[in-house]
Amino acid sequence: MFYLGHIFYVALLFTNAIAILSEDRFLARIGWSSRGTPATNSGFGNDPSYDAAYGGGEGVSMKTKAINLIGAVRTLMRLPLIVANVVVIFYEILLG
Amino acid sequence: MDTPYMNSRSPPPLQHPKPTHPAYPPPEPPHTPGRSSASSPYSQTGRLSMEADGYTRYSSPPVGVEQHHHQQPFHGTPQQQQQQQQQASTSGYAPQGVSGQMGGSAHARGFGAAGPNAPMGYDTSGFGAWPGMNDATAQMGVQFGRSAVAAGHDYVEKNLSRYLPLPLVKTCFSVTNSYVLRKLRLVLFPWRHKPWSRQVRRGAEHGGVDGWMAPRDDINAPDLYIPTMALVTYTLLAALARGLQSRFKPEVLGESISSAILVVILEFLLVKLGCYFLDVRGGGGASGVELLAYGGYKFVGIVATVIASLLQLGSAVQFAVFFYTFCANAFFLLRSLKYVLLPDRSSAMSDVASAPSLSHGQRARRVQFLFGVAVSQALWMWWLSRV
Repeated sequence: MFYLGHIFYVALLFTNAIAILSEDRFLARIGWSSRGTPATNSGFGNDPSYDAAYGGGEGVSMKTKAINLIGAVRTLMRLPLIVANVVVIFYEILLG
Repeated sequence: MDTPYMNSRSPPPLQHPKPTHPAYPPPEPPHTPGRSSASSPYSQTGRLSMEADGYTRYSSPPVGVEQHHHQQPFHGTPQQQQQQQQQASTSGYAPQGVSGQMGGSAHARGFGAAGPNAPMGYDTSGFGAWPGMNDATAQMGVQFGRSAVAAGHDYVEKNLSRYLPLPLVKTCFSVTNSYVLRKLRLVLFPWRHKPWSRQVRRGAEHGGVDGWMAPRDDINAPDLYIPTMALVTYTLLAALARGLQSRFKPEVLGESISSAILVVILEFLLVKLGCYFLDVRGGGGASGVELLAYGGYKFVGIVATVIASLLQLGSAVQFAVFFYTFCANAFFLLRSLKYVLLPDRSSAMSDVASAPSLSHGQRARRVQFLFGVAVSQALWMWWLSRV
Protein backbone atom coordinates (compact mmCIF):
# COMPACT_ATOMS: atom_id res chain seq x y z
CA MET A 1 0.00 0.00 0.00
CA PHE A 2 0.90 3.60 -0.10
CA TYR A 3 2.40 5.90 2.40
CA LEU A 4 2.99 9.58 2.26
CA GLY A 5 6.68 9.03 1.67
CA HIS A 6 5.85 6.97 -1.36
CA ILE A 7 3.68 9.76 -2.66
CA PHE A 8 6.65 12.06 -2.29
CA TYR A 9 8.87 9.56 -4.07
CA VAL A 10 6.41 9.25 -6.92
CA ALA A 11 6.19 13.01 -7.31
CA LEU A 12 9.96 13.32 -7.21
CA LEU A 13 10.45 10.62 -9.82
CA PHE A 14 7.87 12.14 -12.11
CA THR A 15 9.46 15.54 -11.82
CA ASN A 16 12.81 13.93 -12.54
CA ALA A 17 11.32 12.29 -15.57
CA ILE A 18 10.09 15.61 -16.89
CA ALA A 19 13.32 17.40 -16.12
CA ILE A 20 15.51 14.75 -17.68
CA LEU A 21 13.97 15.05 -21.13
CA SER A 22 16.73 16.05 -23.45
CA GLU A 23 16.11 19.10 -25.52
CA ASP A 24 18.29 18.15 -28.43
CA ARG A 25 18.00 14.42 -28.56
CA PHE A 26 14.37 13.82 -27.72
CA LEU A 27 12.17 16.90 -27.73
CA ALA A 28 13.50 18.33 -30.95
CA ARG A 29 13.14 14.99 -32.67
CA ILE A 30 9.43 14.71 -31.99
CA GLY A 31 8.88 18.34 -32.74
CA TRP A 32 8.40 19.50 -29.18
CA SER A 33 11.39 21.71 -28.98
CA SER A 34 10.80 25.04 -27.36
CA ARG A 35 13.42 26.72 -29.52
CA GLY A 36 11.52 26.58 -32.73
CA THR A 37 8.46 28.27 -31.32
CA PRO A 38 8.79 32.01 -31.46
CA ALA A 39 6.37 32.64 -28.64
CA THR A 40 8.40 30.65 -26.16
CA ASN A 41 11.79 31.73 -27.35
CA SER A 42 11.22 35.42 -27.01
CA GLY A 43 12.88 35.80 -23.65
CA PHE A 44 11.58 38.34 -21.25
CA GLY A 45 8.68 39.74 -23.08
CA ASN A 46 10.37 41.77 -25.75
CA ASP A 47 8.50 39.91 -28.42
CA PRO A 48 5.07 41.39 -29.08
CA SER A 49 3.73 38.02 -30.12
CA TYR A 50 4.31 36.90 -26.55
CA ASP A 51 1.59 39.17 -25.29
CA ALA A 52 -0.59 38.30 -28.21
CA ALA A 53 -0.19 34.62 -27.48
CA TYR A 54 -0.70 34.87 -23.76
CA GLY A 55 -3.09 37.73 -23.52
CA GLY A 56 -5.56 36.50 -26.06
CA GLY A 57 -5.60 32.92 -24.95
CA GLU A 58 -7.03 31.71 -28.21
CA GLY A 59 -4.02 31.08 -30.32
CA VAL A 60 -2.13 28.90 -27.86
CA SER A 61 -2.58 25.27 -28.59
CA MET A 62 -2.28 22.50 -26.08
CA LYS A 63 1.01 21.43 -27.59
CA THR A 64 2.48 24.84 -27.01
CA LYS A 65 1.22 24.73 -23.47
CA ALA A 66 2.76 21.34 -22.89
CA ILE A 67 6.05 22.56 -24.32
CA ASN A 68 5.90 25.56 -22.05
CA LEU A 69 5.15 23.36 -19.08
CA ILE A 70 8.09 21.09 -19.79
CA GLY A 71 10.37 24.03 -20.27
CA ALA A 72 9.16 25.64 -17.07
CA VAL A 73 9.69 22.46 -15.09
CA ARG A 74 13.13 22.00 -16.57
CA THR A 75 14.12 25.54 -15.78
CA LEU A 76 12.45 26.08 -12.46
CA MET A 77 12.84 22.73 -10.78
CA ARG A 78 16.49 22.18 -11.53
CA LEU A 79 17.95 23.32 -8.25
CA PRO A 80 15.20 21.92 -5.99
CA LEU A 81 15.46 18.62 -7.82
CA ILE A 82 19.18 18.44 -7.23
CA VAL A 83 18.71 19.12 -3.53
CA ALA A 84 15.79 16.70 -3.15
CA ASN A 85 17.55 13.96 -5.05
CA VAL A 86 20.69 14.28 -2.97
CA VAL A 87 18.68 14.22 0.25
CA VAL A 88 16.67 11.19 -0.83
CA ILE A 89 19.77 9.33 -2.02
CA PHE A 90 21.54 9.88 1.27
CA TYR A 91 18.43 8.93 3.19
CA GLU A 92 18.08 5.73 1.26
CA ILE A 93 21.75 4.88 1.63
CA LEU A 94 21.79 5.49 5.35
CA LEU A 95 18.39 4.26 6.43
CA GLY A 96 16.88 2.38 3.56
CA MET B 1 38.43 69.56 20.00
CA ASP B 2 36.49 71.53 17.53
CA THR B 3 37.80 69.99 14.41
CA PRO B 4 36.31 66.55 14.97
CA TYR B 5 33.03 68.18 15.61
CA MET B 6 33.45 70.20 12.52
CA ASN B 7 34.51 67.16 10.57
CA SER B 8 31.55 65.27 11.74
CA ARG B 9 29.45 68.17 10.69
CA SER B 10 31.03 68.89 7.38
CA PRO B 11 29.80 65.74 5.61
CA PRO B 12 26.23 66.36 6.63
CA PRO B 13 23.67 63.60 6.51
CA LEU B 14 21.69 65.54 3.99
CA GLN B 15 24.31 64.79 1.40
CA HIS B 16 23.65 61.11 1.12
CA PRO B 17 21.72 61.11 -2.14
CA LYS B 18 25.03 61.69 -3.81
CA PRO B 19 25.17 59.05 -6.53
CA THR B 20 21.67 59.81 -7.60
CA HIS B 21 22.81 63.08 -9.09
CA PRO B 22 25.50 62.25 -11.55
CA ALA B 23 24.38 65.13 -13.71
CA TYR B 24 26.31 67.61 -11.63
CA PRO B 25 29.82 67.71 -12.87
CA PRO B 26 32.65 67.44 -10.40
CA PRO B 27 34.03 70.84 -9.45
CA GLU B 28 36.52 72.29 -11.78
CA PRO B 29 39.57 73.94 -10.32
CA PRO B 30 39.52 77.42 -11.71
CA HIS B 31 43.25 77.79 -11.94
CA THR B 32 46.16 75.52 -12.55
CA PRO B 33 48.88 74.94 -9.94
CA GLY B 34 51.20 77.08 -12.01
CA ARG B 35 49.03 80.06 -11.25
CA SER B 36 48.99 79.32 -7.59
CA SER B 37 50.50 82.65 -6.69
CA ALA B 38 47.25 84.27 -7.66
CA SER B 39 45.20 81.87 -5.66
CA SER B 40 45.15 83.88 -2.51
CA PRO B 41 43.16 86.86 -3.75
CA TYR B 42 40.99 84.51 -5.72
CA SER B 43 40.14 82.51 -2.68
CA GLN B 44 39.51 85.67 -0.81
CA THR B 45 36.96 86.74 -3.32
CA GLY B 46 35.63 83.23 -3.47
CA ARG B 47 35.27 83.23 0.26
CA LEU B 48 33.50 86.51 0.19
CA SER B 49 31.13 85.40 -2.49
CA MET B 50 30.69 82.13 -0.68
CA GLU B 51 29.10 83.98 2.14
CA ALA B 52 26.38 85.02 -0.23
CA ASP B 53 25.79 81.64 -1.80
CA GLY B 54 27.69 78.42 -1.61
CA TYR B 55 28.44 77.97 -5.27
CA THR B 56 31.94 79.28 -5.43
CA ARG B 57 33.01 76.73 -2.89
CA TYR B 58 33.65 74.47 -5.82
CA SER B 59 36.21 76.83 -7.10
CA SER B 60 38.70 75.68 -4.53
CA PRO B 61 41.50 73.77 -6.23
CA PRO B 62 43.05 70.50 -5.03
CA VAL B 63 46.38 72.24 -4.65
CA GLY B 64 46.08 72.84 -0.97
CA VAL B 65 49.77 72.59 -0.11
CA GLU B 66 50.75 75.58 -2.12
CA GLN B 67 47.79 77.54 -0.96
CA HIS B 68 48.64 76.47 2.48
CA HIS B 69 52.02 78.04 2.08
CA HIS B 70 50.62 81.16 0.64
CA GLN B 71 47.91 81.68 3.11
CA GLN B 72 49.79 80.79 6.21
CA PRO B 73 50.07 84.43 7.39
CA PHE B 74 46.36 84.93 7.12
CA HIS B 75 44.55 84.11 10.23
CA GLY B 76 42.26 81.17 9.84
CA THR B 77 42.37 81.11 6.11
CA PRO B 78 44.04 77.67 5.73
CA GLN B 79 41.29 76.24 7.74
CA GLN B 80 38.88 77.71 5.32
CA GLN B 81 40.94 76.45 2.45
CA GLN B 82 41.00 72.90 3.61
CA GLN B 83 37.38 73.30 4.38
CA GLN B 84 36.82 74.18 0.81
CA GLN B 85 38.90 71.29 -0.35
CA GLN B 86 37.07 68.93 1.83
CA GLN B 87 33.82 70.18 0.52
CA ALA B 88 35.09 69.87 -2.99
CA SER B 89 36.35 66.36 -2.44
CA THR B 90 33.48 64.96 -0.44
CA SER B 91 30.53 66.64 -2.01
CA GLY B 92 31.62 66.33 -5.54
CA TYR B 93 28.29 64.93 -6.63
CA ALA B 94 26.13 66.67 -4.13
CA PRO B 95 23.24 68.88 -5.02
CA GLN B 96 24.70 72.27 -4.67
CA GLY B 97 22.06 74.02 -2.70
CA VAL B 98 22.02 71.61 0.18
CA SER B 99 25.74 71.16 0.49
CA GLY B 100 26.21 74.87 0.05
CA GLN B 101 24.10 75.69 3.06
CA MET B 102 25.54 73.01 5.22
CA GLY B 103 29.11 73.70 4.20
CA GLY B 104 28.58 77.36 4.71
CA SER B 105 27.69 76.90 8.33
CA ALA B 106 30.57 74.50 8.82
CA HIS B 107 32.89 76.95 7.22
CA ALA B 108 31.78 79.74 9.48
CA ARG B 109 32.38 77.54 12.48
CA GLY B 110 35.84 76.57 11.35
CA PHE B 111 36.75 80.08 10.41
CA GLY B 112 36.27 81.39 13.87
CA ALA B 113 37.46 78.56 16.04
CA ALA B 114 40.19 76.45 14.47
CA GLY B 115 42.50 79.18 13.34
CA PRO B 116 45.76 78.80 15.33
CA ASN B 117 46.27 75.10 14.98
CA ALA B 118 45.70 75.26 11.31
CA PRO B 119 48.12 72.54 10.11
CA MET B 120 46.81 70.02 12.57
CA GLY B 121 43.33 70.89 11.54
CA TYR B 122 44.32 70.40 7.99
CA ASP B 123 45.59 66.92 8.65
CA THR B 124 42.69 65.77 10.70
CA SER B 125 40.23 67.15 8.26
CA GLY B 126 42.09 65.44 5.48
CA PHE B 127 41.48 62.21 7.29
CA GLY B 128 38.06 63.32 8.25
CA ALA B 129 37.01 63.33 4.66
CA TRP B 130 37.30 59.56 4.58
CA PRO B 131 34.95 58.87 7.46
CA GLY B 132 32.67 61.32 5.74
CA MET B 133 32.65 59.24 2.63
CA ASN B 134 32.29 56.05 4.60
CA ASP B 135 29.42 57.49 6.52
CA ALA B 136 27.59 58.49 3.40
CA THR B 137 28.20 55.17 1.68
CA ALA B 138 27.31 53.31 4.85
CA GLN B 139 24.05 55.18 5.06
CA MET B 140 23.38 54.42 1.47
CA GLY B 141 24.23 50.78 2.06
CA VAL B 142 21.99 50.63 5.09
CA GLN B 143 19.19 52.17 3.13
CA PHE B 144 19.73 49.78 0.26
CA GLY B 145 19.85 46.84 2.61
CA ARG B 146 16.70 47.97 4.34
CA SER B 147 14.86 48.29 1.07
CA ALA B 148 16.17 44.89 -0.02
CA VAL B 149 15.00 43.31 3.21
CA ALA B 150 11.63 44.98 2.82
CA ALA B 151 11.35 43.74 -0.73
CA GLY B 152 12.26 40.22 0.36
CA HIS B 153 9.74 40.40 3.15
CA ASP B 154 7.05 41.50 0.75
CA TYR B 155 8.03 38.72 -1.63
CA VAL B 156 7.78 36.12 1.09
CA GLU B 157 4.48 37.52 2.29
CA LYS B 158 3.04 37.55 -1.18
CA ASN B 159 4.16 34.07 -2.05
CA LEU B 160 3.14 32.68 1.28
CA SER B 161 -0.29 34.18 0.90
CA ARG B 162 -0.41 32.84 -2.61
CA TYR B 163 0.57 29.30 -1.81
CA LEU B 164 -0.99 29.10 1.60
CA PRO B 165 -4.01 31.36 1.62
CA LEU B 166 -4.77 31.37 5.29
CA PRO B 167 -7.80 33.67 5.22
CA LEU B 168 -9.32 31.52 2.51
CA VAL B 169 -8.75 28.39 4.56
CA LYS B 170 -10.31 30.09 7.56
CA THR B 171 -13.26 31.07 5.43
CA CYS B 172 -13.61 27.48 4.28
CA PHE B 173 -13.88 26.31 7.86
CA SER B 174 -16.49 28.79 8.99
CA VAL B 175 -19.49 26.51 9.01
CA THR B 176 -22.54 26.08 11.11
CA ASN B 177 -24.52 23.01 12.11
CA SER B 178 -27.33 23.75 9.76
CA TYR B 179 -24.91 24.30 6.91
CA VAL B 180 -23.22 20.95 7.52
CA LEU B 181 -26.51 19.10 7.60
CA ARG B 182 -27.81 20.84 4.52
CA LYS B 183 -24.55 20.32 2.68
CA LEU B 184 -24.47 16.63 3.51
CA ARG B 185 -28.00 16.31 2.22
CA LEU B 186 -26.98 18.24 -0.86
CA VAL B 187 -24.01 15.98 -1.54
CA LEU B 188 -26.04 12.84 -1.11
CA PHE B 189 -29.26 14.07 -2.78
CA PRO B 190 -28.25 16.73 -5.24
CA TRP B 191 -31.00 16.10 -7.77
CA ARG B 192 -33.62 18.63 -6.82
CA HIS B 193 -31.37 21.41 -5.69
CA LYS B 194 -32.10 24.48 -7.74
CA PRO B 195 -29.81 27.49 -7.50
CA TRP B 196 -26.27 26.25 -7.87
CA SER B 197 -24.60 29.59 -8.27
CA ARG B 198 -22.59 30.92 -5.42
CA GLN B 199 -23.36 34.25 -3.91
CA VAL B 200 -20.84 37.01 -3.91
CA ARG B 201 -20.03 39.17 -1.00
CA ARG B 202 -20.43 42.82 -1.69
CA GLY B 203 -18.10 45.38 -0.30
CA ALA B 204 -19.63 47.54 2.34
CA GLU B 205 -18.68 50.95 1.09
CA HIS B 206 -18.65 50.84 -2.68
CA GLY B 207 -20.75 47.86 -3.50
CA GLY B 208 -17.99 46.14 -5.41
CA VAL B 209 -17.46 42.42 -5.54
CA ASP B 210 -15.44 41.41 -2.53
CA GLY B 211 -15.14 37.66 -2.94
CA TRP B 212 -17.49 34.80 -2.24
CA MET B 213 -19.76 34.41 0.70
CA ALA B 214 -18.62 32.23 3.56
CA PRO B 215 -20.11 28.73 3.80
CA ARG B 216 -22.18 29.67 6.81
CA ASP B 217 -24.15 32.05 4.64
CA ASP B 218 -24.20 30.21 1.36
CA ILE B 219 -25.12 26.59 0.85
CA ASN B 220 -23.28 26.43 -2.46
CA ALA B 221 -19.97 27.61 -1.11
CA PRO B 222 -17.37 24.88 -0.69
CA ASP B 223 -16.09 24.22 2.77
CA LEU B 224 -13.24 22.19 4.12
CA TYR B 225 -14.90 20.96 7.25
CA ILE B 226 -16.93 18.19 5.64
CA PRO B 227 -14.03 16.85 3.52
CA THR B 228 -11.69 16.80 6.49
CA MET B 229 -14.14 15.07 8.75
CA ALA B 230 -15.09 12.65 6.00
CA LEU B 231 -11.42 11.84 5.43
CA VAL B 232 -10.86 11.09 9.11
CA THR B 233 -14.06 9.11 9.26
CA TYR B 234 -13.03 7.12 6.23
CA THR B 235 -9.70 6.28 7.84
CA LEU B 236 -11.33 5.10 11.04
CA LEU B 237 -13.98 3.17 9.18
CA ALA B 238 -11.39 1.43 7.05
CA ALA B 239 -9.55 0.42 10.20
CA LEU B 240 -12.82 -0.77 11.71
CA ALA B 241 -13.61 -2.85 8.64
CA ARG B 242 -10.19 -4.44 8.83
CA GLY B 243 -10.73 -5.09 12.49
CA LEU B 244 -14.06 -6.76 11.83
CA GLN B 245 -12.31 -9.00 9.39
CA SER B 246 -9.69 -9.53 12.13
CA ARG B 247 -6.95 -8.33 9.84
CA PHE B 248 -6.21 -5.16 11.76
CA LYS B 249 -2.69 -3.90 12.01
CA PRO B 250 -1.72 -0.41 13.12
CA GLU B 251 -0.32 0.21 9.67
CA VAL B 252 -3.84 0.12 8.27
CA LEU B 253 -4.49 3.64 9.53
CA GLY B 254 -1.48 5.05 7.79
CA GLU B 255 -2.14 3.12 4.63
CA SER B 256 -5.72 4.19 4.31
CA ILE B 257 -5.10 7.85 5.03
CA SER B 258 -2.11 7.85 2.71
CA SER B 259 -4.10 6.43 -0.15
CA ALA B 260 -6.90 8.90 0.56
CA ILE B 261 -4.52 11.83 0.53
CA LEU B 262 -2.93 10.44 -2.61
CA VAL B 263 -6.30 10.45 -4.30
CA VAL B 264 -6.97 14.00 -3.20
CA ILE B 265 -3.60 15.22 -4.41
CA LEU B 266 -3.85 13.38 -7.71
CA GLU B 267 -7.26 14.75 -8.46
CA PHE B 268 -6.22 18.21 -7.48
CA LEU B 269 -3.23 18.00 -9.78
CA LEU B 270 -5.35 16.67 -12.60
CA VAL B 271 -7.84 19.49 -12.26
CA LYS B 272 -5.08 22.06 -12.07
CA LEU B 273 -3.39 20.58 -15.12
CA GLY B 274 -6.70 20.61 -16.96
CA CYS B 275 -7.20 24.23 -16.01
CA TYR B 276 -3.75 24.98 -17.37
CA PHE B 277 -4.30 23.16 -20.63
CA LEU B 278 -7.79 24.49 -21.12
CA ASP B 279 -6.62 28.00 -20.40
CA VAL B 280 -8.89 28.62 -17.47
CA ARG B 281 -7.60 31.78 -15.94
CA GLY B 282 -6.83 31.54 -12.28
CA GLY B 283 -9.05 28.54 -11.82
CA GLY B 284 -11.99 30.61 -13.01
CA GLY B 285 -12.49 32.25 -9.68
CA ALA B 286 -11.90 29.20 -7.54
CA SER B 287 -8.66 28.81 -5.71
CA GLY B 288 -6.77 25.64 -4.98
CA VAL B 289 -8.33 25.41 -1.57
CA GLU B 290 -11.79 25.25 -3.08
CA LEU B 291 -10.68 22.68 -5.62
CA LEU B 292 -9.39 20.59 -2.74
CA ALA B 293 -12.73 21.03 -1.03
CA TYR B 294 -14.63 19.91 -4.09
CA GLY B 295 -12.36 16.92 -4.43
CA GLY B 296 -12.93 16.01 -0.81
CA TYR B 297 -16.69 15.70 -0.99
CA LYS B 298 -16.34 12.27 -2.52
CA PHE B 299 -15.42 10.90 0.88
CA VAL B 300 -18.98 11.36 2.00
CA GLY B 301 -20.07 8.85 -0.61
CA ILE B 302 -17.13 6.61 0.20
CA VAL B 303 -18.07 6.62 3.85
CA ALA B 304 -21.64 5.69 2.94
CA THR B 305 -20.37 2.83 0.80
CA VAL B 306 -18.07 1.58 3.52
CA ILE B 307 -20.87 1.69 6.04
CA ALA B 308 -23.05 -0.29 3.63
CA SER B 309 -20.33 -2.86 3.28
CA LEU B 310 -19.95 -3.03 7.04
CA LEU B 311 -23.61 -3.79 7.48
CA GLN B 312 -23.22 -7.08 5.56
CA LEU B 313 -26.24 -6.52 3.39
CA GLY B 314 -24.84 -8.33 0.44
CA SER B 315 -22.76 -7.27 -2.48
CA ALA B 316 -25.73 -6.16 -4.56
CA VAL B 317 -26.80 -3.60 -1.99
CA GLN B 318 -23.23 -2.53 -1.54
CA PHE B 319 -22.81 -2.00 -5.25
CA ALA B 320 -26.12 -0.16 -5.44
CA VAL B 321 -25.03 2.18 -2.67
CA PHE B 322 -21.71 2.73 -4.39
CA PHE B 323 -23.37 3.46 -7.71
CA TYR B 324 -25.86 5.82 -6.20
CA THR B 325 -23.25 7.77 -4.25
CA PHE B 326 -21.05 7.91 -7.31
CA CYS B 327 -23.88 9.32 -9.39
CA ALA B 328 -24.77 11.84 -6.73
CA ASN B 329 -21.19 12.96 -6.31
CA ALA B 330 -20.65 13.20 -10.04
CA PHE B 331 -23.78 15.28 -10.44
CA PHE B 332 -22.74 17.48 -7.55
CA LEU B 333 -19.32 18.00 -9.07
CA LEU B 334 -20.78 18.70 -12.49
CA ARG B 335 -22.94 21.40 -11.08
CA SER B 336 -20.39 22.83 -8.70
CA LEU B 337 -17.34 22.82 -10.93
CA LYS B 338 -19.31 24.39 -13.70
CA TYR B 339 -18.65 27.84 -12.44
CA VAL B 340 -14.96 27.02 -12.23
CA LEU B 341 -14.57 25.78 -15.76
CA LEU B 342 -17.36 27.58 -17.53
CA PRO B 343 -17.59 31.08 -16.13
CA ASP B 344 -19.39 32.27 -19.21
CA ARG B 345 -22.73 33.14 -17.77
CA SER B 346 -22.93 36.71 -16.71
CA SER B 347 -22.57 36.08 -13.05
CA ALA B 348 -22.04 38.76 -10.52
CA MET B 349 -18.44 37.66 -10.04
CA SER B 350 -17.25 39.72 -12.91
CA ASP B 351 -14.51 37.54 -14.26
CA VAL B 352 -14.61 39.34 -17.54
CA ALA B 353 -11.04 38.46 -18.39
CA SER B 354 -11.85 34.94 -19.46
CA ALA B 355 -15.60 35.03 -19.79
CA PRO B 356 -16.38 36.64 -23.14
CA SER B 357 -13.78 35.04 -25.37
CA LEU B 358 -14.86 31.44 -25.07
CA SER B 359 -15.15 29.85 -28.44
CA HIS B 360 -17.32 26.90 -29.24
CA GLY B 361 -14.47 24.40 -29.41
CA GLN B 362 -13.05 25.63 -26.15
CA ARG B 363 -16.38 25.34 -24.47
CA ALA B 364 -16.85 21.84 -25.82
CA ARG B 365 -13.44 20.83 -24.55
CA ARG B 366 -14.18 22.25 -21.15
CA VAL B 367 -17.46 20.41 -20.95
CA GLN B 368 -15.69 17.21 -21.89
CA PHE B 369 -13.07 17.79 -19.26
CA LEU B 370 -15.73 18.51 -16.67
CA PHE B 371 -17.51 15.32 -17.60
CA GLY B 372 -14.24 13.41 -17.38
CA VAL B 373 -13.57 14.76 -13.90
CA ALA B 374 -17.05 13.75 -12.81
CA VAL B 375 -16.76 10.25 -14.27
CA SER B 376 -13.29 9.71 -12.81
CA GLN B 377 -14.91 9.87 -9.40
CA ALA B 378 -16.00 6.29 -10.00
CA LEU B 379 -12.37 5.20 -10.21
CA TRP B 380 -11.32 6.96 -7.04
CA MET B 381 -14.36 5.96 -5.07
CA TRP B 382 -14.17 2.36 -6.15
CA TRP B 383 -10.52 2.15 -5.25
CA LEU B 384 -11.00 3.77 -1.88
CA SER B 385 -14.16 1.94 -0.89
CA ARG B 386 -12.53 -1.45 -1.19
CA VAL B 387 -11.43 -1.74 2.39
